[in-house]
Amino acid sequence: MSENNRNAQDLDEILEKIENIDEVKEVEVPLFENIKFESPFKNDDKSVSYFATPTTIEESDGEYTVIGSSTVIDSNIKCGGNIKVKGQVKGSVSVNGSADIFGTIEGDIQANEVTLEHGAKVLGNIICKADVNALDDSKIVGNIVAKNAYINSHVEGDLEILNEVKITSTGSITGKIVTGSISVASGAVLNAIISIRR
Amino acid sequence: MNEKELFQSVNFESPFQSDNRNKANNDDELTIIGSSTVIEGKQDSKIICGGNIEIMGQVKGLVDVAGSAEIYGTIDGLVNAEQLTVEEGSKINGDINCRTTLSINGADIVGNIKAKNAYINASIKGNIEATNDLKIANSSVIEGNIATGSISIESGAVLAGNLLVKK
Repeated sequence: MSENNRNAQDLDEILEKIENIDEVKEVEVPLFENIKFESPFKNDDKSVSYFATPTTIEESDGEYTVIGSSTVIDSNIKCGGNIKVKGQVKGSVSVNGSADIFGTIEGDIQANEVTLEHGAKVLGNIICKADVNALDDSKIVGNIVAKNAYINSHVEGDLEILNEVKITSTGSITGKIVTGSISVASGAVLNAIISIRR
Repeated sequence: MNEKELFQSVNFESPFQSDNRNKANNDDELTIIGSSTVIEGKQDSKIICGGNIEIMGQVKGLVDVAGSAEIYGTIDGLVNAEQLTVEEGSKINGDINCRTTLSINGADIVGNIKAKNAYINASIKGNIEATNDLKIANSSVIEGNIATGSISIESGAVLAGNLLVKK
């Protein structure tokens, strides 16, 4: 092999490395810019970026849908206002406003704000424009994407949080956490890979 | 001051009093489907409600209610209820089974109706079976057969179909 060829080979390798570096840089583009929120509502502007202030449907502002404690819904729910789930839902729940969960949801949740009250259970992913608030005695099996997450409960799944994760002494998380900042109270149980990015 | 006296003087204020969300509805058994809410998307969609229900929005699938149901919205599917009230502007595309009293006011219904007692003031395409008593008000338009224990028809009602009254 001639020296020119070798040089050419080295150059190729270097070029390859440079390309790889570019790839790495691409990966490091802030995670949340890539997330597109698809609203279930047709009159919602889809070009709005995921974490932009939510567009509200005027008619349904402050409107509540309530799933009573003895009710089981085996279907998907789309709701322009807010929802309170005291019963059981087997299917996805998409809400323009806030979702207050006292019961059980087996399916994904999309909402502006999600609160899991005592005893609530979610088996599915949570995508939330603002805060996820999981009170103690609640349980989430699934991934969480949100702006802020306050975890007092048991979570099995990955967290992608733009701003802040707060894990209190009753919280427990098993999974990967990608967040802007994190605080963990003593007593919390963590079995997680944590990555903090600004 | 002994222990009993101590606690008698304490005024316990619930921390939840300031929370409007808990005040909004104290009845745990009541299910409300808000007007902007759509329930659909699964093949065998169903709502099974142990208490009472109010539907202002849209439901596609079976609705089975142990208590009373009030419909203001649209239902595409079978409705079973102990007591059923269908209000003006609502639409039901499916059969209705009501164990006691059915009241339909100004709604649009495509499907067969079974009830013990029924008051109908609506447009209905389908058969009606009221085991006890049936009242048809003046702005009704009914296309279908009627079987009932007793009937009263207000003048102005439009009927197209067979009528059977049998005790």
